[in-house]
Parts: sequence; C-alpha cells; structure tokens
Amino acid sequence: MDFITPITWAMILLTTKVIEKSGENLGDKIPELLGKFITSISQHLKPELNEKIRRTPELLNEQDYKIIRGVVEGDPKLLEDVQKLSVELKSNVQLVKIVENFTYPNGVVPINSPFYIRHDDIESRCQKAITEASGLLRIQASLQMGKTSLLERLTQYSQENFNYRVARIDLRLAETQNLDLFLQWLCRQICKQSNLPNNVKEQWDLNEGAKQNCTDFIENYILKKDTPPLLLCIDNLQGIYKYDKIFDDFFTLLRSWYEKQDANWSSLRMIFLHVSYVDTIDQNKSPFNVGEVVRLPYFTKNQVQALTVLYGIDCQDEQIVSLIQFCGGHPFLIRLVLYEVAHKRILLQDLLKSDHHKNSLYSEHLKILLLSLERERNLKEAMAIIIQSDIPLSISYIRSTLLTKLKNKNLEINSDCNTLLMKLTDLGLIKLNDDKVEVTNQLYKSYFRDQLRGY
Amino acid sequence: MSFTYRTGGSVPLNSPTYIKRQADEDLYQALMDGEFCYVLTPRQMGKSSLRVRVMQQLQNQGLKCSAIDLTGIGSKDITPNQWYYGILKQILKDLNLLEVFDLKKFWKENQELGWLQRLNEFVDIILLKHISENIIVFVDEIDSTMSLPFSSDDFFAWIRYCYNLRVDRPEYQRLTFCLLGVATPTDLIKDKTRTPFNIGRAIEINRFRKEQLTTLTTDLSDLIEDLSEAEDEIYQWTGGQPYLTQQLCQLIQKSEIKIKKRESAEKIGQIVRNQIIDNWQFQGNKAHLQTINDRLLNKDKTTIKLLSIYQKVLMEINVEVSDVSTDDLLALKLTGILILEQGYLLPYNYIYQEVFNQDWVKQKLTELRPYEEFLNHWLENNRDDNYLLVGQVLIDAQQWALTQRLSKVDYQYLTASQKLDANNAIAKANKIINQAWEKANKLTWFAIGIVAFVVLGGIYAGNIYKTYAYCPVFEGKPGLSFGNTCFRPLKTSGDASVFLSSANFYLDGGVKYFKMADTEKNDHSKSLTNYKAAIKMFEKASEVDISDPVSRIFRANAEARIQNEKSIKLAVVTSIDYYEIGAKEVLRGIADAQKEFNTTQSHKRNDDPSKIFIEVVIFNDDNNPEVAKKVARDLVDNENIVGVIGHYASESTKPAEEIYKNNIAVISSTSTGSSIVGDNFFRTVQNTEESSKLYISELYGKDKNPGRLFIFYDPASTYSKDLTCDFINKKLGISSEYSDKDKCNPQEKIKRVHNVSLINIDEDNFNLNSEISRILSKKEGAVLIFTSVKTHMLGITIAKKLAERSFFHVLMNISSSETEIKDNLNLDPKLFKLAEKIKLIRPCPNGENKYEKDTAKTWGLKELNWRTVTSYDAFKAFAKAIEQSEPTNRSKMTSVFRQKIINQLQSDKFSLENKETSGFGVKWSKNHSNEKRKYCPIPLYKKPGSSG
Repeated sequence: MDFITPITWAMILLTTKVIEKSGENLGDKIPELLGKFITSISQHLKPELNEKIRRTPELLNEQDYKIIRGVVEGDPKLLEDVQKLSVELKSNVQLVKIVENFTYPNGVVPINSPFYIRHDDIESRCQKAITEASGLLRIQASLQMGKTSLLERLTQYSQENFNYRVARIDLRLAETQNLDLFLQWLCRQICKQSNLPNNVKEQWDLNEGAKQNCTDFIENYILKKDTPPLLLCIDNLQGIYKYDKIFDDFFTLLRSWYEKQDANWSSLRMIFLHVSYVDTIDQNKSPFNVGEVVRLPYFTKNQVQALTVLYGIDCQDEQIVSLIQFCGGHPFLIRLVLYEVAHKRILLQDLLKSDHHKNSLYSEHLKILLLSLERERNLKEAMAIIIQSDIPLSISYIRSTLLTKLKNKNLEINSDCNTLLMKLTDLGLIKLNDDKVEVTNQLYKSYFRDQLRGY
Repeated sequence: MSFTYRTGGSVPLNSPTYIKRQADEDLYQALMDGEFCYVLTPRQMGKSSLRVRVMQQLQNQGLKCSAIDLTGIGSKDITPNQWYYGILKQILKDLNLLEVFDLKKFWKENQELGWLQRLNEFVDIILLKHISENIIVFVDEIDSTMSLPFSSDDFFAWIRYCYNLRVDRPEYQRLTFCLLGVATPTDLIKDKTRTPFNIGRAIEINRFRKEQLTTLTTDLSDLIEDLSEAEDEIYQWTGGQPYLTQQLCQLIQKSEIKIKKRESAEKIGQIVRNQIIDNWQFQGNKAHLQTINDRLLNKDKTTIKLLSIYQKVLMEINVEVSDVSTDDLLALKLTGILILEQGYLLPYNYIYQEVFNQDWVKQKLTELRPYEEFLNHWLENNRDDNYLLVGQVLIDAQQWALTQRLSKVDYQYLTASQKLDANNAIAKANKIINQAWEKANKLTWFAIGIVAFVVLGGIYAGNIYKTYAYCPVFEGKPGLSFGNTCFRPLKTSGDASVFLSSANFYLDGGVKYFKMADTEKNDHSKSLTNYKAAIKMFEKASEVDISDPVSRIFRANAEARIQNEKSIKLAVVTSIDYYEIGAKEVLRGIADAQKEFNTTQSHKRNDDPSKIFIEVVIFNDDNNPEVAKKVARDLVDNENIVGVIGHYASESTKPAEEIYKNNIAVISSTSTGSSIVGDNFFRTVQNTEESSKLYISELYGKDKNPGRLFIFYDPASTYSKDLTCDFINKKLGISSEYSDKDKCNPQEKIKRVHNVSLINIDEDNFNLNSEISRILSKKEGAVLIFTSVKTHMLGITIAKKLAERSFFHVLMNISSSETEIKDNLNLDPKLFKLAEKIKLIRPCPNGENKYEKDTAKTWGLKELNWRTVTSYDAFKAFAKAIEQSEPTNRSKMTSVFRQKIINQLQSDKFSLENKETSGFGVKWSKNHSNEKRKYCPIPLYKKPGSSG
C-alpha cells in the first residue's frame, strides 16, 4: 500500500496553496475533500507539523512524509479520502489549467504565484531582521538565485504588516560622478519613492561635506517622528564597486547610520542585495560585518519535488536526483528545465546525455558566466584548471598549477589565487568543501570543459 | 527571554548582553573629574558600546555630552572647511544649540581666521557662554582622520590647546574631550608639542573575565546541560575577547546542537574549528580575523619587526614589555593579537593562535613584498626599466604575487617587469631560467601525484603518506617506488636553491649573486662585489626565515670564498627532497659549527699559516642507494673535497661507504645501522648494537616483563634490519659479530625467541589494520616500532592507533623526527597520559650544555633535534682533524691531505673535550661510533604542567 507517495502528498498540499494564493475556483469537490482530509489528519499530528502543512508544504521533509504516511496508512478512512482526492486532482481541468498557465521562469517570481518556493528558515530570518529596530539585512547570492523574488516578498510583508515606507534603490542606475552628486541622487530617489516633495537641492548646505548633508537630510526629512519606518533596499550593491571615489565613503556612511542609536534612526531598516563578497575596505567601517546575512541556498530535493508537482510533471525519485545532479539545485536552472519538460520540449532522461549542455536552452545563462570569465583572463585560467579535474582539488594545488600556466603562457598575474577562487564561488561556478574545490554541477562541468578545452 | 548576540556594531543601550568592565568605571570617573581621556584599543573590543553607556551615565548626572563620529563626516573629497564646519555643527546639534545659534553666520563672519582660531572662537563665544554645565565631547573613530585629504593636525592641536588654557581660563575646565579609536598617537599627529595624547589619561579596555560569561550563556541553557563547563570551554578559545565570545555564543545558539555534560570540549571545539578557524578566509564571518591579519601586515616598514616579536611570543619565549619599543608595543596591542599581562606579552587567545600560527608567521615573513626596494627605486626614478625584475627573481616575485592581495602599482610593476623580461634577449638566451621552469613543471606533476595518491591510498589518512608522494605514482609501483625521476642532482655551495618547498626571495637573490661571482672567478674585483652582495641577501634570507639553515651555510660559504686561497671544502650529503625535515635538522648543526669555526679563523692574523676557512658543499642523494653510490663516486673524484659528513639513512650510507673506502674520511651523524663498517668510517652517534641494549633494558630490565612483544620492522631497510637483528641477538644473549650482520635473517632468528612476533611491513600482504587489531586483542604487551626513514610515517600511524586505544608500551626508533611525530600524532590532550607510554629511543639530550640550551632559540625552535646536535659534533670532529693535519699546500696534494685527515681520525689519541662539542665530547669506540653519546628513552609527551 505505497500509493501515497510524497509526490501525491505534495500535490495535495500544493493544491491548497493554489487555492489560497490565486483564489481560483476549482469547483466544490476538491476544496471540500481537501478541507475534510486536512482537518481529520491534523488531529493526529503535532501542531508544528500542521503549521508546516498549511503554510509551507514545500518544506516537508522525508521525516515528515514518513509520519504523515504512517498516520494515513494506519487509518482506512483517511486512506480512502486520499484515494478519492488524488483521483479528483488528476482529473480536475481547472487545476491542470492553472498549473499549465505558468510563465517563462525569467526574472522575478510574481508575488501571488504558487511557483514561489520558500526556503527553510530564510524568509522568517529576513522578516525578523527587518522588523527589529535599526535592522540591517544583507542578501548575498549569485545571479538568478532568487534575490529579487525574495526582496519582493519582504517589501510586501513589511508594507502589509507594518505599513513600512519602501525605497528601492538600484545602484546600477546611480549618478556616479562624485560622492556629492551620488548622495544627492540617493536622497532624491528616496523622496520620490516615499512620496515626499523633492527638496534635496534646497537642503544641501555647501558648507558641509556630502556625508553630513546626506545624513542630515535623511534625519530631518525622511525619518521624521511619527512616520512609519523606512525600508531602504539597495539592490546591485556591486554596481558601484568600481567607483573608487564613492564606494568606501558610501559604505562607511551606511555603517555610521547603522550605529546611530537615537529613536529616529532606529526606524531606518536596510536591505542590501549583492552578488559577491566585499572585502576591499576596512571591515570595521563597513556595513558588511553587521546585521543579518542571508546566503540563498540551492534547492533541496523536497523543494524540487514540490516544483515538479506544480509543473504537473510526474517523475520518479531518481529523476529528481539526477536533475539536481545536473544543475546542482540552482533555482533558475531547475525552473528552466521543469518549464521545458512541462512543455514537453525536453525529456528529463535526456539531461544526463553527454551533449545535453549544448541545448540552446541554457545558452543565455551559460554565456553570462562565460563572459565573466572572458573579462578576466586569470579567472578563466583558474577555472580551466578546476574544470579539467574529476576529483576535487586543493587550493594549494590550484595555486601552483596556475602559476606555472600563467608563466608558461606569459600572461600577466593581476590577482591572487584566493580572490580568484572567491570570485568563482560568487559566480556559483565552484564550491569549496573541506579545503577542496570542485565545480558545482554537471551542466557547468560539461559546458566549460567544452569551452575551455585546450586551456 | 531570547536575545540575539551582538557581533559587530555597538551593543544597544537596553541590551542584556552588555558586560560591564573596569573601563566603564574608569572612564566614567575620569570624565566626571574633568580628565582628558583617550581609549585606544583594537577593533571589536567594545569601544563604542563603552562610549554609549558612559555618555548616558554622564547625561544622567546632568553633564552635557556630544558624540562626534568622524566617519560620518569625513570623506575622500571633503574640504577642511566642510570638515571643521561639520564637527561644530555636530556639537551644536548634540547640545541642542542648533536653533539658538546661527552657525552659518558665525562661519561666514570669521572666514579670515584659520581653523584653529575659528574653533577657539567657537568654544569661547558659544560653547562656554551658552552652556553652564560641564561639557564632554566624545570623538569616535579618530583613526579615520588618517584618510582625510588634508592634515588634521590642527584638530588635535585644538584639543591640546583647550587643555592648556585651563590654567589661565578656569572656565575651560568645564570642557573635556574623550578620544576613541584604533591608532597610535604617532600615526595621528607627529608634532609632540601639539599632541593631546600626552596630557590625558589612557583608558584600557580589558577582556571579559571568565565569571562574566554567565551573562552571555544564560540564553544557551536550553542547549547546554552544564553551563559552567561550557563557559570554561568558550573562555579557553576566546580568552574573553568581546567580539569572539559573542560570536561563539551566537554560533552555538544557531547550531542548535544539544551539548550534554562533558561534551563541551568536543562539541564547542568542533564549532570553533568548523566555523571560525578552518579556511577562515572563506568563512562568512571572516571580517574580524581579516582585520587582525591586515593590521599586522599593512605596516610596511615595521611589519617584519612586529611579526618577529609575535613569533617569539608564539614560541613561548617570554617577551618582556621592556624589550619592546613603546611604538611597537602599542602597534602590536592595537592589532588585538597580543595582550599585555604582568609585564609580558602573551597571545590573546587560542583562536588567534590557531589561525595566526607559526606556519602563518613564517609564510608571511617570507611573503612580505620581496621587491620593496626595487619598486621604490622604480617609482622614484620615473619607472626606469633598470629597476625592473628579471629572471629567477621575477619568477619568485610572481609566485609570491599569487598568494597576495596587491595594489595596482604592484601589478603594474610586475607586468612591466614581465614585459621587459620577455623582450630581453639575454634573458631569453638564459637557459637557466628555462631549466628552473622545467623544474617547476615537474613539481606540478609531483603535485598531481600527490592528489592521485591520496585518492588511491584512501585507507589511511592522506597526509600520513605525504612523504611517499614526492615520487610520482606513474613511475613504478604507486607511491612506494623511488625511481630516478624523483631525483634532483644537487651539489651546491651557494649557487642553487636547496629546498624547493619554501619560496624565499632573498635566498634566491643571494643564489643569483653567488652564481655570478662563481662564473666571474677571474675578474677578482667583480667577483668580490658579487659575493658581498650575496652575503647581504643571505643575511636577509635568514631574517625572514630564521629556521632555514641553507641561507646561513651559503652566507658562510660566500664569506669563505672572499678569503680565496684560504678555504677548503667539506661535503655534506643528505636527503634533500625526500626527507626535508631531517635534512634541515642535519644542516642546522652544520651551519652552527661552520659559523663558529670560520669566526674563530677570521680572528687569526692574515699571516698565520693555520688560518683556514671551511666551505660546506651540500649534496643530495635523495635517500636512494643508487643515487648515493653515484654521489659517492663524484665525491671521490672531486679532488677539492677533503671529507664527507653523511649520508642520511643507513640504506644510502652503506652502499656509499663501499665506494668511499680508504679514499676519503666519512663521518655520519645520523646513520646508526651496525652493519656499516669501515676504517675510514666514523659516526657521532652510537650504532644499533648500543641502542638495542636500551630497548632490552626498557622491556626486560629489573622487575619488568612486557608480556607479548610485537616488532614492526622493514627488512628492506639496512637500519631497520640491523636494529632488529641486534635486538634479537641481545635477547638471545649472542654477542654481535660484524661478519654475520649481512647474513642475519631476523625471520629465522625470531623462531628461537619466545613470546615475540615479528611483523614485516614491507610484505605485499601487510595489512596495518588487521595487525593492529591482532595486537589489541591482547590485553597487554609491548610494541617496538622499528621502521625506516622510508616507512617512518607508517610508524607514526601505528603509534597513533596504539596510543588511542590501549595500555601498550610503545618504543619507537629514530626513523622519524620528534617534531614530526608530535605534529602527526596530533593527540587529543586527554590521551596524553596514555601517550606517556610512547617513548622514543634516541641519543640523549644534554640540557645542561650551552649549545643545546641556547641555540634552539636562534633557529626559532623550542628545542634542538638530536640530528642537529650530532651533525654539529661531526663538523667539529672534522674541523679538529683538519686543524691537526696542518692544511697547507692542500690544492696540489688533496689525496695526501685526505689521507692525513683519515689518519688523524683513526689515531687513538683523537678525541674532543666536552666543551669542544655539543656537550658529551667525542671518543671513538672500537667500531668508530661516538661512545660518549649514549641513548635515552624519551617519553613523547610529558604530563601537562611538568616543565619543558
């Protein structure tokens, strides 16, 4: 009697989510069956597990399934309910339509989309961080890992629950001529987004330095008493790394805001989003060693399983394992593959074919990565060394090999080995385990082996 | 109640995690009394938190306070006008005078005045007029003034001036300053007459006391059963450093690991290792350690000095505060890595000690921008090509660059050098560089060998077998064969690098000059200049790597070369690439004795016929019998060399001795195999006949009975086989005869001995794990580890397994180095008591002797290895024989002179007094061993607490 597989279960639970989130009408039968089933099973489960089933079904783990299965299989009544429900679900036209009506997995996962997959405790950690006085949160992850999707949800959460004012600043669009103009631009953006009149020009006192002007402006005009907290979200922080004139002064400024203890300043909450570790300035004057740090992880097996259900893909356990092996659980890649599989454009079993990486599907994602390597020759050479090995390599081995290579090719050395490895890690290309370095997934491995052949 | 630990940033006023310290009281009281104060401490000691709290207390007492955070005001492109204005504005704001007083107007009206005057004016007409209470101005992050685009001397002078005015203007006593930051006063202001730092009171922020940790651990009570045990453990690691203590508590909380009674050491230790120490540069919370790292290394000129003081502290050499200059002391203190207690500098805590350990210091010392001087010249001289690096020196610099975070200028410099080097026709023609690169490429292959071998040899811990890995696996048997490919023919007095594992720019630089001098022999003055340059470089090389003997020997050689006609050559043959640790131990003794001898000679008058210098030529035999024979043949034919010290292990000494026979005198300081005999062969140790006596008495002495005895031995090794045979003979009561040594078959002989098992580790089907379990199935017994140099790592593995599991007596022979055994055993401190049962049978140390006692320090070591000591003696014996052979006209009559030396050594009268040697003296026994140097059983570990 093993028909209540985790997949069936996930499907049941995700349907709950579809109903809750999108308010779609699935007829009467499904919600009724579902409600009945969940109510009767909840009597047998601990409150935490019930909570989990209702709120974050994608986070159920093997252990949870085992408990649930035990309960269901021990009760013939429940078993019958599940059977009925599962038949209903599979044949419900409306449900199938919703699940088919997914968008191409590029950019942000829309706020109400059931396709948003929560991470274990990350959402709650983030929420806690921004609701504390003077809260500071950093979200660090490589490209297409879901930073912006998470940010969307956090801003929504803070607006809905606490009536925060939100200012989202994308540093790629910043005025970067000098610190003064940059900070004026920042203040203007904040005014605009929190619906305050733009009076930056008038308030800027030329007797003072830029930092003090900016601090005073925010203190006097933005963080006024009796206004709700301001959530200042700074996206693409890496966008100004290259502007020597601005970035360390800007970072020390952010740090000094964080340190301010008076009441007005405690209503400033900040979120920084960036792709790589910043270690170029004095750490103690930087905002990077304070507050809560969140690194977005790769998807786990359960999360992938939940997604397959959403995409209406019926697949075996081992296929999920090989899917994860193929793209290392990278959120974007997983979504991409599942989207294509759902549209029957590729087959899951094709993933492990040796030339699958040549599929044009991945080319855009891979090209961005390749481009990052092309921009820095040393980085490319370091990657070429790592890619050629089937076993994880030690850092010292990579270092000595890299030296020999660069020297033999008469190439300039313009970075140290640790920094290079750090950059590759930031790009999501490699991971470090016990002092050993290896490529994160099969796709990257086959693609870069092809691309860097002969290096 | 649940709270978050505060790691980074100041602790909020209402936080329950704030721990009060003496500094809270001190600072409050001093400021109440109107004293000027400054708090100069390392990062993350709780400076700002202290400020916030004291300020609140003072305000509660009715004082008026202003807090200026200089980082919030200054920036890279700020003008002094804006900066000073900003400071005054901040003060006005904090004192609620912004509405009352028009600063803009005041500033405009006093435009003609200088900064200092304008500030004084401000105090006079505003501050003291409008505020009747006492005023305290806190100035935080004062070190940020160093990155301002202008000098902030006026600012500090202003503070000083306010103090000076107190005498004439009593109202100034109401104005008090408190400066906080991470900088030495000299960094901030050079002018002693204007500095405010010598008038005020320095407030020290101390570490947390252990009992204060309760405040932090209460929140962990859900996880930890025995809080006080856990507090001990936390304190052990962090030493009460505020940031680390909070960080560790936070990590424990986040880990959600339940810690039962008596598990604190293990589980907290694991968290510290996994999440703080291991690969710290890749850890998320690396900022704290990175800051210490950077502060210590970014000092440019004083870095070497600071690092060497730190190194001494690490080596547990007592560094008294009075030995260190005030500036260095403060600089070191501000890094946070050291702490001052009871007049001594001590490491702050275990975490720092583990992260910034001896290896780290050594690496950093060798990595300090090696081309500093060249680079400065290059920049000063408009980037003149003449100051670029070429050849080997450039390669070293690039090698170094790969391990460093460098500035743009560095990369520009290296790139320019590289371009020049590539275009330089001479450099292109220079085959030596190409050879160096072939060498480097080969090393890469070796490294691949290491990786592959670790994978293949997964049964044992990878690093245990590292000595095997010097040989590529693709040659012969995996890992265990020593094909010729591994061999690096090396014969050098100073013109080639010896140890390839450690990069030392100065050593390579010296080698370069030495080689130039050597090839320009005929041009005397040119050659002299180059030798002198080489000496300078070698001198620096020993400064950055004090444990390296090669630079010292090369230096002495270059000095001897300058004496031209008056030097003779002595060969030292050892195993360079194969067993670097042992080779270095030998060479250290040689270096000491050579220096001593040559220094004595240099005091002699130039016309003294006995004035003679000894040059040491280093040879590599790679511990390979075939190579050893080849080296021996070369040496016999090389008529410049008068004697040989070597070889390293008995298996290479023995075949070599067959070739040396009667041609040249040989003194070995390390080979103890009793089957090596020869009229011309001597040794400054005793042979295995002598050591086997001690094994017998340790095991079967009065009232002793070990029960079952297991001997691990390696019949492929001369040393191991000789020792085993001698031991069995002694056990059987047979006196050893030279003639039957080579015929001895231990496997046959052992059959006659009761209760002893012989385990052949060279056998194909040897299985360590099953042998160990066989031994451990016995309740008690003894184990002899008679491994060879080749198999010594296996010996260490055996010892480790036994130490962890049982109560066996374990006696180890001298195939490994003691430091290496200790490093690799890496025993849990709890096992130390058991480990007392592991003893090493080695030549006796002589703690009383000046040489053994004092010399270790000069090498940066805790104690001298016995190989260093016996090698020292070997050189001394040669030196005496050479002196007694009246070395004149030696160039024409080397063979005669060699014979003279042999005769001297063979003479019955030949001996060295205690004081002429490392302490025991030298006197040959019948078999030409040094009968004065006995063997001693040395426990590898002593009870914690016992000295030494």
